[in-house]
Amino acid sequence: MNLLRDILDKQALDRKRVKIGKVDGLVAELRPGKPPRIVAAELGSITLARRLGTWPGRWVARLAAWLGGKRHGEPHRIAWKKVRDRGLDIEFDIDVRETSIFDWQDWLRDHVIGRIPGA
Amino acid sequence: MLFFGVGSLPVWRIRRPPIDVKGQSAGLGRTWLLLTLAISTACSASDQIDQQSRTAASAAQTVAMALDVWAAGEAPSAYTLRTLQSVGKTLADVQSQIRSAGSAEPAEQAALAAAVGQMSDAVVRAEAGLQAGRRSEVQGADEDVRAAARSLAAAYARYFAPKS
Amino acid sequence: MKKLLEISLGIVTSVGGFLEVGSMATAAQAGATFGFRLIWAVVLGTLCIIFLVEMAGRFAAVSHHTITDGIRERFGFKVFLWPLLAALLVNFLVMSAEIGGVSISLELATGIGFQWWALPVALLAWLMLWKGTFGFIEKGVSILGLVTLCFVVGAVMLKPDWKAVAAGAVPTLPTHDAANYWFMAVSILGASISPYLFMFYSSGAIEDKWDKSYLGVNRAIAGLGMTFGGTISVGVLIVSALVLATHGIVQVDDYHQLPLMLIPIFGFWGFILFTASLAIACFGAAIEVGLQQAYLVAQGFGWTWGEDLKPREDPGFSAVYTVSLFLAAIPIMLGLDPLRLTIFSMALTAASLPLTVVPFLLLLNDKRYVGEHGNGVVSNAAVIFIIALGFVLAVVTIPLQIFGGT
Repeated sequence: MNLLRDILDKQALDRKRVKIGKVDGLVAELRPGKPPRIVAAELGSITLARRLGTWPGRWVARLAAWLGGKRHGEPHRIAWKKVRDRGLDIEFDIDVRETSIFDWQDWLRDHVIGRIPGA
Repeated sequence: MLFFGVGSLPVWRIRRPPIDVKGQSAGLGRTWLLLTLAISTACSASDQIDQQSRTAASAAQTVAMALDVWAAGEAPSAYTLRTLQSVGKTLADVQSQIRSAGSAEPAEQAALAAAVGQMSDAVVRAEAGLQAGRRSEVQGADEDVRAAARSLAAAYARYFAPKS
Repeated sequence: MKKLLEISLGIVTSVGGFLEVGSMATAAQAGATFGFRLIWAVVLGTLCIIFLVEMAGRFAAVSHHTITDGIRERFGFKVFLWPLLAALLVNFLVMSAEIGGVSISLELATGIGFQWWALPVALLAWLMLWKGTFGFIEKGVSILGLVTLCFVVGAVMLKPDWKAVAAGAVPTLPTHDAANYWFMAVSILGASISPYLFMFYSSGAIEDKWDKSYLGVNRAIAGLGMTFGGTISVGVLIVSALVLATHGIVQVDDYHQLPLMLIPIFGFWGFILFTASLAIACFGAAIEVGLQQAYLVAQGFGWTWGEDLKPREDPGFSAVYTVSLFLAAIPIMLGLDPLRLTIFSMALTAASLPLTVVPFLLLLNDKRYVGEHGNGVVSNAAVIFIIALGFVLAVVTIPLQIFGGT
């Protein structure tokens, strides 16, 4: 299996098939003398910014920490063993509501979108 | 155990199938320059006068047509008035462009500018007549615009006539 | 029977949705200045958009992914970033032009300056997205858009020399104003091949829950719908050539000139028909482009999206179209000339096409997404040829228009 082709950047779903983002990054464990092993998937803007370079990564991480508190200064990480189904989309055995992935969308709903009549 | 973000693991970059989206080659720049040069004829003063004269002629016909349909009751006055105002601005701009263009034919150039000036005056009169609801004044202005268009055409022909 | 209904409805919506400020303005300009000689650009553009729309629908029906999804997932974030930024920018300009188009029509109808209408128009468009469902927007607005058929009726009533019209469908070199001729050709291509159109179509196929059984429907809608749509553009061009040019108006650089096209044919009704066509066509397009901005971002980053969800169920998605619509109203509010903006954005669209179309073509040839329903040689070659032509012409003529073109 070609991890990069088949996992990275694919649509990520939670166990209720809610779209939670794309697989923005993968975390590998380097083992001496053996091939590296994938241990987690990462989601979120910090990971994306890191893919563009060191500086964008640092700035976005700082911005995220400033906006959302220290908890958001790190990318969202989902353990690899939570992967449930791999097709064109990747399904994780998690419930997005128990993570902080949608914190910003929740904030947007509670403070902006939800306050506009008819939402 | 060592964790790496995506940015620091070069293996992944190598494995991704290479895709060249831009698909540009180095020779493209030169071709572009050549093509641009080929199409762009030098933008001389007479080119500019030519272009401005045609804009003025088109503007005059727009006024004539707009006034005709208004007189026939086929367009609302508010629209006609806005059209006159907008074309009036264009004509004023054209007039100053023609005046400021350097040229070898100062007499013909002045004739062109004068014709455009007549158009502008006629458009102003048409506006006034339209606002006051005086049909005869609008009609007179309409005829003046057409006359100015004819003198523009004559001056244009003289300007671009082959000189002996 | 149900499929037949779906096909006719699909054709009606694409006919009603085809004409927008870009195709209207570019066709009117070309007709006034060059008579029938630029009809070939409309034909080529329409041919290309037929292929692209068919591909977009096929891709969505087979893979259950939109094009935006596909580009991000197949080529990765770094490659995706380029088409994303290009599409966001071009869509912003086009949306602004469409809001400008509606504002002009309101100015024509009321006499109140177009700048004052930009914000109310954006607000109304936003309200449609906020409260409306996808089906309502797609069908309702597009069926009203059938009023644009008045240009075809007008063209036929003028009894054009059909041999000359057919001759115009064959590309020829210009006899005068070469730079202007090619620039207009580019603007027409850009207006016909709008990336938002085929990307929107693929999202629509997902919203309407298409599967492989819709491949035939898709082919019929793409082929017939876009052909009829292109016919309307040709109608505008013919009317402009026969009405404006014969009255000596050989340069359309002021949007006030546009309503004059239909008045000699229909009298006062011509004024009303033009104003209504412009208003409805541009309003529909503004909504679609606004929605497309939200699709683009939400799909690119994997958020929950869908026009049928309530805004509180997809706050990120709703926020994007809200912000985009109001941002796009700003240039018009500031008094930027909508006609100039339109022509410029159409040319820029043509220049940006390779960024969106090339990855899209690669997807349509990727077995993992489309299985045995991949592209044929003809459609690949045709699209590549037309896009390359548009790109080259755009890169050459846009600088000429900006820096001292005559």
